[in-house]
Amino acid sequence: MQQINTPIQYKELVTEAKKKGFTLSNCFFLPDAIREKTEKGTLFAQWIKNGLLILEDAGTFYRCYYYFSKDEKTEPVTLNKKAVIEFPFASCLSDVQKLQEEQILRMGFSLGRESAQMTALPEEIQSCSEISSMVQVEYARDEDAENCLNLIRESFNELYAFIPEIDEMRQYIRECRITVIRDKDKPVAVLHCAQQKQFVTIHHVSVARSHRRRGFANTLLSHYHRSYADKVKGFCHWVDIHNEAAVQMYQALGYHFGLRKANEYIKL
Amino acid sequence: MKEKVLSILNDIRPDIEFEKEERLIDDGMLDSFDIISIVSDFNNEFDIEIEIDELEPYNFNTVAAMVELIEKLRDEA
Repeated sequence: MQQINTPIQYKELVTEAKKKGFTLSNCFFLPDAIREKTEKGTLFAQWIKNGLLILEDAGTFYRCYYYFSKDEKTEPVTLNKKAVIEFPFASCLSDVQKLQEEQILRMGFSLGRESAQMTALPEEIQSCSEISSMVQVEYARDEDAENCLNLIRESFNELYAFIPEIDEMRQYIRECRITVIRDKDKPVAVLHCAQQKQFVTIHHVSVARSHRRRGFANTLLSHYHRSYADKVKGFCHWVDIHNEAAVQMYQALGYHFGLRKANEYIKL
Repeated sequence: MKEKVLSILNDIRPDIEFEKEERLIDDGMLDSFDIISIVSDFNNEFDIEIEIDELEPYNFNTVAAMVELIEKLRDEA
């Protein structure tokens, strides 16, 4: 494995991969992203049988990008950290995407999660009866940052969900993107969202194990929908399609599946 | 072709009014996951290969630029 130190080095590697016939790829960094990642020292390259891997070091795991041959098969690879390949697609895999999936699985990755996008217009949102009237939803305070992160880590796998750093969490709190429910002044449930233009997206909803089955998630979502109903054209988020409880909850709230899907392949 | 490009873009990011925007990349409206989706879908749908030299902001800042890029690559193929 070699570190990629400059954008020129990155381009040379990619050019070499293409010359070798490795034309199937999911690696589409724009110049600013390449510059940022090489300056941070987080990009690495590893040549494999009939392919090239570009690995982005995310701390405890790699985000993996690839260049494969269409015709020659890859083989199982050895990496010194866990790794994830994010694979977005529309509706169903095309023939070319199926070829890429076969190569990914040959490398020793397995399908970790299947996600789909769910959306709802404000007028489609249904009110929920399972709201807790005993609690209040508030915007998080700066001193809540660590507790909010812990709640998110409790519910989300870092391989599948972007887990913010503490400084990023503090920034999100300042931007009023984090709402919480407290017990004895400590957050026990958190919702993290982000408005982009005319839609708003949920990034995380998490309730402490000790406080589940009390309607806290629905209470947070109800507050969220009311807060944004007059500000956006729609609500959306990504859901694990095998998380039946989450899918049913969002469908009961009025969400429906869109066309966008994404698989996450992992190597532990 | 423009309609197909818009259809792909709207599926990926229904929150963006693509025809009105002129700085999709420069203003950070599309993130890296969006770019992977867009380039993959364009490559699949139009049977092209968008190369590293074409992964520049000016090719993705507007719908017109994306259409122009696709047309260029199809002509070259």
